[in-house]
Amino acid sequence: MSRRLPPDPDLDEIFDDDPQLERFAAILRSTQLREPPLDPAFRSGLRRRLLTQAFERSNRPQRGSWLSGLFRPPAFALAAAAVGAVLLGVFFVQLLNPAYPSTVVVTTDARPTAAIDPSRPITLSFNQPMDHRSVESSISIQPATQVSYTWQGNNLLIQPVGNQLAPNTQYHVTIAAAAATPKGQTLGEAKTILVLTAPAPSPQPQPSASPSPQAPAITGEKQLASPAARVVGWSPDAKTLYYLAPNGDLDAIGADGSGSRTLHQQVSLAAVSPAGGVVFGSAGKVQAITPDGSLSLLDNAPADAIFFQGSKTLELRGANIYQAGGQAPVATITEPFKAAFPAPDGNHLIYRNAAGRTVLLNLNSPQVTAWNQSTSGTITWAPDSNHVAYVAGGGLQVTTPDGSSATQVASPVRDGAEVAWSAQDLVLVTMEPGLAAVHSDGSGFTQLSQEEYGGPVWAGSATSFAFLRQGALSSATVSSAGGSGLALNAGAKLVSDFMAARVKGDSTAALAFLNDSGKQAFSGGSRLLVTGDPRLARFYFVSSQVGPEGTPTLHYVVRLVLAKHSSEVAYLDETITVLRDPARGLLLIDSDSAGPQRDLGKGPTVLSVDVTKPGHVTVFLDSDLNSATVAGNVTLTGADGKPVSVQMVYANRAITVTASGLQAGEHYKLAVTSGLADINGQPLSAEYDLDFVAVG
Amino acid sequence: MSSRALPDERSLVERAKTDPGAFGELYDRYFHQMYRFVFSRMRDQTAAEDVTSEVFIKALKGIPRYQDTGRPFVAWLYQIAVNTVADRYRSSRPTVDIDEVHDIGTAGPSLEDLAVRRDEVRQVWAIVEKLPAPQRTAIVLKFQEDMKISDIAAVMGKTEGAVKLLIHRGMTRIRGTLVPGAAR
Repeated sequence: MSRRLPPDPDLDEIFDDDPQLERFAAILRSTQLREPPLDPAFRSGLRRRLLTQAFERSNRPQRGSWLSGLFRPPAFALAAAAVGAVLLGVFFVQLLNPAYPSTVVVTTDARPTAAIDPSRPITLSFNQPMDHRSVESSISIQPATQVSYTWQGNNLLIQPVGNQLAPNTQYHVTIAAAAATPKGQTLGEAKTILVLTAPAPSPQPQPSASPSPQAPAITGEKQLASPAARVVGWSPDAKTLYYLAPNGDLDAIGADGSGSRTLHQQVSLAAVSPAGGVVFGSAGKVQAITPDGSLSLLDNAPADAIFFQGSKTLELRGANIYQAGGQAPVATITEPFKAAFPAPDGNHLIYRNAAGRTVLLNLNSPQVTAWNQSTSGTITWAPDSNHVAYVAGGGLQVTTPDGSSATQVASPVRDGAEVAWSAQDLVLVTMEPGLAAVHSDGSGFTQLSQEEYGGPVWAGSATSFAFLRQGALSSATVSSAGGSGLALNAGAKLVSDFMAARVKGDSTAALAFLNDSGKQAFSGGSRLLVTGDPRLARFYFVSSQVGPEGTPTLHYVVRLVLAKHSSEVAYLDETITVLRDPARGLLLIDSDSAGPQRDLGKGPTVLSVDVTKPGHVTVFLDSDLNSATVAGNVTLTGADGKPVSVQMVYANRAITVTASGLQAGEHYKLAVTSGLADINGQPLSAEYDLDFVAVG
Repeated sequence: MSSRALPDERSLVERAKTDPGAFGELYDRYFHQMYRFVFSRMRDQTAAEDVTSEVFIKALKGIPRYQDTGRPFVAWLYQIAVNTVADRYRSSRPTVDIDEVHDIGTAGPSLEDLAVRRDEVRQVWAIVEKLPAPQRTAIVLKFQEDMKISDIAAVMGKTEGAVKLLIHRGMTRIRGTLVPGAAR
């Protein structure tokens, strides 16, 4: 990378055409100073201070000045005496009056870029006593906020009526020039003070400015059938559960408890096909039963394990793996083994040999990879087949299938604990007692319950799971405020770090959070780093939600706040999609779409939207609203475009929309329209809409 | 910065010796430039505010004795700023990331190139920050503030030849650090 300097005779002499020195000089010259954070109050305050000093100096008698000259000639001694008497009189008059400064100055301890707690009042400090009514009537606050005033000496405390300022908001508090002292000395010129508020308190550590997911919780627990011996699995649409009864029956039951039926008897093993239906072993045969109930014979030989590779059914028989109906094995385990664990994608199988060694077998080639560490108990594959979990050393370990990157993600976990890994990267692990959840990177470990949850099996939707308790089959939901909430937090942490790198202007760090698709989305010069004027000053989360059923994605709407110097002037919203990178096993940002840039200070603005509570959507705004304008200006429509019947409650800048008809997993659109107005009659700054998937 | 003192500036400076309003105009004209320079050296908003205040208070005190030597008035302000920053540097050396101060344009062809370039810029500036103070000051004034050597010489109280030598030594040290085997 070579760069040339613009012509500069100064440098010609210094560098004498040395290309390396010129190159480094060009690098130095190519950099520009970033706009430093600047408090306008500091700039104007320093100006006032300097001018006050300058005026005092210009009014002071100077040696050789006209005033000192006045007293020099003896002819003017009498006049001098008279002037002296007048000056003494002025001096005593001044002594009798309080020595207040000639200029009214107002300051605040808040900085425009250092966020304060929203529950803290805004404090204005005057340099002398003020006429309270004059000051209070001179104050205007943007965004529109109902406030009360409390005076403490020369300090004015401005407290919102609801006791809380809006979070994530830069307030512009303007004191008009007419604000005056009791003697009528005015401020002289209007003064605007900027106050930034911090994100709302969140029950989760990071990072949401929008309402964060609640603590994880198991909800909707229900017993479906009894007795039951083993959960086989869920149908791909999560509407049917298959299980084995203690007497060997293969049974099916609807996820809502309806439609219980026996599919076959004397079944020894079974697996749910990704295409629907069940393949099972019974009486030395392998058979398949379709969702509509038709039965077919696949192989007239007993199988030790049944699994799938795409549309192919594979059977482990002894040491050989066959495709169903095939005569020649597609792969062979070439040594005695004690246990085998096929991958969900059917491309690999992990087995434990007679000596206890764990080995990865590639079913598409004869390649084997032996692990360095020994294992015991079950090895559970991640749904994407890129990682496995197992219990060892008193903890839950996660590693790549070749065993090369084992990391303990939870402890203590007893040997024999059962593990279920969801498509949303939430790992359930049975504890003594109860059930815990943790992400595969070790984040978000949470004890979900102290109750018994044997043999948990996730539905593909990653919100519901089936389990056994006291010989009965049950199901439950790790609510979106629970299981997906954990996933949301892990993704939000990633997005936070990504955004922090962008705010810092560190493209190298920011790029590390993107997969190839994400890099593509952010290519094109200024998309990643928003510099110049206005520049990217900060960000916060507007909404966060898990993706639709069956798509292991996380979606975040992040607001980029743009500022000129210290004053925030505009924003734009980006919708960021996060998913787990199959190659690296990491959460990465996959795509992004940006909305239009909008001005701040032009009326009420939607700050955040919470769609994580079943049956409810809550819209948070930065302004106190005229409650009469709420009805009809916040709407929900279904994917079919039909309006959803809703009830609305407005309080403390939040509109809570309750819609009993919201169906979990269905798409809806929230719209906030410009008929909504603040207490000053200012309409919504920009119409806002959000597509979301309802949670159950 | 590279232009000579303009006539209107000369008269403004002369008036500022006795007229607070004229000093206010100078303040308005140069506040941002000074604050930005001071912030780039201090890298802390509070410290930058303190030092900038000190710079302008010293300027206010000193302006009656200011002699027009044909150099831009701002060179005199830089002289005050450089000395004030140096005083502060002696007591506490800032440690904030260079990225928080310097910026590079975003008109790069690709994100990867941008990242490489940013790394290079970061490395070069990191070395500048470790140079002896005179070399660092001369390089900062030359490349960051785009000043003429003669003005830098006035700011630093050195001859033009001495300033050129400082810059050459600083640049040679940068090369010696980043290009293994290069002459130091």
